[in-house]
Amino acid sequence: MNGLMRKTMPVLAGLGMLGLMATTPARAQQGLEEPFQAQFNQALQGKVVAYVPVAMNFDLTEGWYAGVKRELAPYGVKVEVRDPNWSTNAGAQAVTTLLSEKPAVMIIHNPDVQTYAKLLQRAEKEGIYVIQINMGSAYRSTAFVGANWMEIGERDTTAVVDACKGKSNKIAIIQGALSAAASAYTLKGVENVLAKHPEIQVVSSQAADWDAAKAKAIAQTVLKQHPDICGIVGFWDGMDIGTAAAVKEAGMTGKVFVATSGGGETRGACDQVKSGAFDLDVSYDVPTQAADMAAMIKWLLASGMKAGETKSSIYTTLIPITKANADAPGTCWSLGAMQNKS
Amino acid sequence: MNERLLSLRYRWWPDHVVGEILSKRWTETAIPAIVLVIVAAAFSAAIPGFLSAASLADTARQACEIGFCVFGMSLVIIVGGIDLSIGSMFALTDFCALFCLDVLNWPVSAVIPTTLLAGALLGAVNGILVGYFRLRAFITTLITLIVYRAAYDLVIFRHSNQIAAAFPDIPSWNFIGGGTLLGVPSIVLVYAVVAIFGHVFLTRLRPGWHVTAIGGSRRSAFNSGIPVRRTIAQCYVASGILTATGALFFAARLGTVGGDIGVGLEVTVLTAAILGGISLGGGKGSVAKAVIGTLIVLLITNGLTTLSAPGGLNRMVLASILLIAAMIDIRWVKNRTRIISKVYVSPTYHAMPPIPATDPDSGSPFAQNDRLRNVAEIGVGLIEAPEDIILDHEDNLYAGSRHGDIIRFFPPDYERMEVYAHIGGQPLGMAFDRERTLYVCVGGMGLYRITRNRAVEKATDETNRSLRSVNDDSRLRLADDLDIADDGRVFFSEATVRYEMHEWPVDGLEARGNGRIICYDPNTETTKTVLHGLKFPNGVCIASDRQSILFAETWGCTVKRYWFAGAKAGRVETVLDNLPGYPDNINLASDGNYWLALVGMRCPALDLAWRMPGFRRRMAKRLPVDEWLFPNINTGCVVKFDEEGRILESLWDLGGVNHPMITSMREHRGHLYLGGILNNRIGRYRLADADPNFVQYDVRWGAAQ
Amino acid sequence: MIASLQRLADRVLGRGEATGTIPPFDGPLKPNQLLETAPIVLSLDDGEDLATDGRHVYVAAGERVLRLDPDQPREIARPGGTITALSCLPGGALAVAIGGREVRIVGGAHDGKRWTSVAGHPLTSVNALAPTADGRGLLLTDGSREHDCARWCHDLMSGGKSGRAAQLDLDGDGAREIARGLSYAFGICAAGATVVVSESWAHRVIACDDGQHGQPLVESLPVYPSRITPAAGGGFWVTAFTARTQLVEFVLREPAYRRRMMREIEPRFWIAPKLSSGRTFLEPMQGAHIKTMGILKPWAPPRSYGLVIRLDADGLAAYSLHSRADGTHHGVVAAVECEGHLYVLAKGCGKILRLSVDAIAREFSL
Repeated sequence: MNGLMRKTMPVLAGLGMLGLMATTPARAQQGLEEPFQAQFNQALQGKVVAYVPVAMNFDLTEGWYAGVKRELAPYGVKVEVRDPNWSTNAGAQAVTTLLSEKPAVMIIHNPDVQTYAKLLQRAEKEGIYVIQINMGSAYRSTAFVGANWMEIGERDTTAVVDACKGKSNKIAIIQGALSAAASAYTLKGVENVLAKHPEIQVVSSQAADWDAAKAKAIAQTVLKQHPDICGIVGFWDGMDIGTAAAVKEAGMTGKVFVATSGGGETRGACDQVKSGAFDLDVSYDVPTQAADMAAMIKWLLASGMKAGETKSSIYTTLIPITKANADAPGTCWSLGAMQNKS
Repeated sequence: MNERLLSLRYRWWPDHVVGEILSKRWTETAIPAIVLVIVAAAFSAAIPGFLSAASLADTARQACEIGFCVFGMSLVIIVGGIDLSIGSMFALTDFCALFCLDVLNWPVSAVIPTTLLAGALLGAVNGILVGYFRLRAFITTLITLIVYRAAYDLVIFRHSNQIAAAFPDIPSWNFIGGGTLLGVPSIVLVYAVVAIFGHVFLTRLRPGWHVTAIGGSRRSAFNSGIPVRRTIAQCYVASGILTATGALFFAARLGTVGGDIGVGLEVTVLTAAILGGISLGGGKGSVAKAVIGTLIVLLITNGLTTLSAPGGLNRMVLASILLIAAMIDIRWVKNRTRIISKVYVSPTYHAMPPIPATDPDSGSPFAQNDRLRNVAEIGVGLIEAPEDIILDHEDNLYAGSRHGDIIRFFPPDYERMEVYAHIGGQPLGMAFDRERTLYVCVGGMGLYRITRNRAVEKATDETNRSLRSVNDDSRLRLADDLDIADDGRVFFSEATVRYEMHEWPVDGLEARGNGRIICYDPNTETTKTVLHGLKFPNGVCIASDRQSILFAETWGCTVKRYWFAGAKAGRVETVLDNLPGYPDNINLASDGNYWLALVGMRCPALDLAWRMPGFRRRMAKRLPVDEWLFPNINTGCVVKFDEEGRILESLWDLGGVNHPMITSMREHRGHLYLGGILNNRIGRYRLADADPNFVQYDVRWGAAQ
Repeated sequence: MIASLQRLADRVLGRGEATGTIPPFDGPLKPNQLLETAPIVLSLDDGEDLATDGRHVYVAAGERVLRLDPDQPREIARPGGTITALSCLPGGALAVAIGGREVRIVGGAHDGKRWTSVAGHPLTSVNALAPTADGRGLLLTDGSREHDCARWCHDLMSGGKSGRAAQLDLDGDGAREIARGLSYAFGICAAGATVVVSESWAHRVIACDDGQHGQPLVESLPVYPSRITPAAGGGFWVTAFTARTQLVEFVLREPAYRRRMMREIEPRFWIAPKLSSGRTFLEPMQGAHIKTMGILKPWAPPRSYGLVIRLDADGLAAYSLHSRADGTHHGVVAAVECEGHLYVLAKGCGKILRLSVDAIAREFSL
């Protein structure tokens, strides 16, 4: 009796299993294996993105950081910050160190067009993807995400010229750091417009090095020397807070048209326009730029493309903020909200 | 048992090494070097690949750029000033180099000298204002900092975009900026050359000594005839040139003229200089210190940035380091001598048997008496500190004095005196050699000899350097007594290698055995140490077999015999042990025995203190020297002994009136002449039953020619 | 808590309270040689105390009491036993302390009265006697409970704090302690209602008002004070039998060395203050004592010293008389004023000196 049991049990078990298997395929046939997501996840997992801004602790760079981190962190990508705190030298040294650490991607915010140029060239030769954000360098790398500064310069100047019609036609220009992309290219845009309007007289054109206090000091001097000035073109709203303060102290808010540009953060842009400090603030919308960068990074990492093989740019669509749309929701973004979401 | 352990511990543990190491000059560079090693180790543990070849090469480039500026700043600090305009000069010369290259399109071979010349001119402005017009360096360079920075802002406003647009690709320029030679970056080679030259300049060349002298004391340097104003101006010019060099390499590497180039550079450079140990007060510093300071600062800033520290933290850390380094610098410079002197004294265990009886009625050969009460005096008040006396065949009496003279008194009554020769220092033991040249041990100088024509010659003032001492013991500090062997070799004692002559009581407090016996051979002009580890060896006398010397160990309270020739060569035996006092000089007596001076007497309190080194160490630290327990050298006596170690008689001045302290005695024609280093007289004692024709020279060398 | 940690740190590092620094001889204590150059009245090698009744000066020498008559001293009493303290009572009586253990009245109304204990504890080292202000009592100081008068150095080296001052009633049998727990009481004097006591190891003179702890009258002396006597015109003459040195203060803080020293070395060769010094080379010598060209510098740390201080009634020092480190009139244990002269007993050299008070006062322009 036992021997028989031992021979028949396996057979019965096998038949049972066949029966089971006859029923299960019916359920498996409903889904399809996605063949690309595994390779994507693998390509991103554990990669390091090094982020070298000009400095942290202000809206632009913090916003980019928050945005990129939020997009990439769920895939296991580590985003590291090397903060040079406004020092060109420290920034160059940070980039140099990164060259030997070899992260997968470097996001570079250039303080000027010259300093990092050779370093970025070396980086891409060694296979690191270099994405330049907003302020570019003389060397074009795999990707550039940022504003078209010449366009900004032209828009700002056009607005100031229009505001000066019928007035003294005297304007002042407050530049940023002289050889920074944001400054030098913007200046070209300004000059383009001025070439078409010879009646406009530039009474002052100085560099404030992105420093609000310096900008205020320059503006104060200009306003004292030319109290009949009708417009000021500033190159960054973070710095032009100082310009606006000088105008306000001179009691000329509303009489002097202040045109500037910036990242479009609520407190720095929309609120200032609403209060009348700025008359025009051309925003390049940091969250959009962050999303653009993250998209580029995802694409590059998953593609396996060689660094520097192809170079291209993504210019940000500009949002001019005036009193008309400063109140509308979505014109500006909030840094706090961005950091909370990530 | 306790004492046995104590004696072992003090015998084998070298406490004295700590003090000796601290008093070496290289200790000051050793401390920042240790800090550098710690920092490098800490960061390379925290950051993988921190010290890899590639990252070292990049760090090296930056380090050398800043390093040139640190050299400039160090030079200016050493000369007693400060140069706060380094950052602005850096920016201006950087601009100059790039302007010439990119805008004027000059060849590299013209850009380099132009840039250096620009740096020299900028430095010259500082130099003229500080050196020639004697303005305060701090204010002046602060003003030039502002002026140069403003000038820089003006020029870059006009030209920066032109420079930014350029992308020069000249091979020699690229080599300067990023090239390597045999794997070593180009800038490192130039830096090494400049560093070596700088070191030689500061330590071996006269202009470098002038720089250090001016920094030490401007007024004294001026009084010595050093061209102070010109040298100071030249230092500032050099600072400008060195900054320009650094800027040149920076321009080649990064090619940028941003608005913030060189801002805050002076703080970094100052931190590096002070961290390395270059004293802000001036007059002290070296190239090694500048290099170490640069490396520390660079490692810290690089490491912190790599650790993703927020940017402000970097500057805060540097500023705190600067604060701490400056505080330590000031504290150390002010207290260095005090700290070293507290740590240097290292007393050790020294035990002796109980003191033999010296009471007048004790019946021992040391029993006190007043046989020396009626000693005749020679030169009372006219001679000071005659430690030893010697007489020649014509009965002339020679004695040393604390003014460095050998005084000769003329026979027969020794009233007339003259300065026989002037040597300097404090003349101590004396002896005649066969040719009647007078050899003298001079404390503080070495072994000297006076020929028969009264010419003073130096016999030797150094011996072989031994490996057992951190101190440089090749110099003679306290040559004490000597005697001359048959072949002309001079055996003399050096009382201590750790202390100078005037610090003899501190050696007594230590009781460490710091002395040695040295042999000088006039035939070959060589000197070598034959015995060491002796406790203040003092008197030396050739023994009767002419193959050995008897020598006294003052703190050991013993007289020993050392054979330098013959069957027993190299052996040391004790002849007199456990003397009740401190033996000093030994000389021949007319009956074939020896006279020994006991310069002081032992006391129970000090003997106990010698067995308790911790007590002595605390006493040395907490009490001033005037209050320390001293060996009592206010009282002494003369003792006669023989080679078998028997004490035959002793002569005292019990009242202590005439000759309380005796360091040496010499028998001559029936009289015993007494000398004492703290006396102002020479004693002459009539020996009742001594040979009236005894002349030591004749006995030693045969009758005079 | 913090204070005790601080004290511990101080002891280890030898700073703060544990330093051996000594107040300098300055101000009214500025050194001079008045005691050294004072004329000698009498040489005796066993003098112990002086007393005066206003007309004569009495000396306790060994077992005898001598009276200093103009021609030569006369023995007037021999109470039997070594006298360690002497005082004159009103009415012509003398109070003597014999061997430090017994106080007896000789002569006068209470002749023969004796005490051997006070407040239950036997007298051990009575070293000073004085009449009370109203004349009806006798004040005494008992230096230490463990050591007798001759072994005062042992008491110092073992940190003695068992001295006391007491008052004996002449009329009745009363005897009570005025102060106890003193660091070697050696000198007592009445001034109206208060009593001043010398506390030698504490380097101060305290004023007791019938309480247990007296108030310091003079503090931080650079010397060890001893017997006190009243001065004409108010105030006191305070003697000091020896001076402080930093080495002794250091040794007092080194228990290991002190123990071995007391065990292995004879007391006269200890590192301790002495009544006289420089006689034998077996005494410990300090660096400043090295004689150069035969001269010992007077400002060397004094191994023995001679000092008499004139205090006024408020306890402020007015002037002082010194015999410095290179002198011989050391070990001043008693000074009394009689008929315009100050008689000083220098026990270290066995001499009684006499100075004119007027001349001294003129010297100090008072």
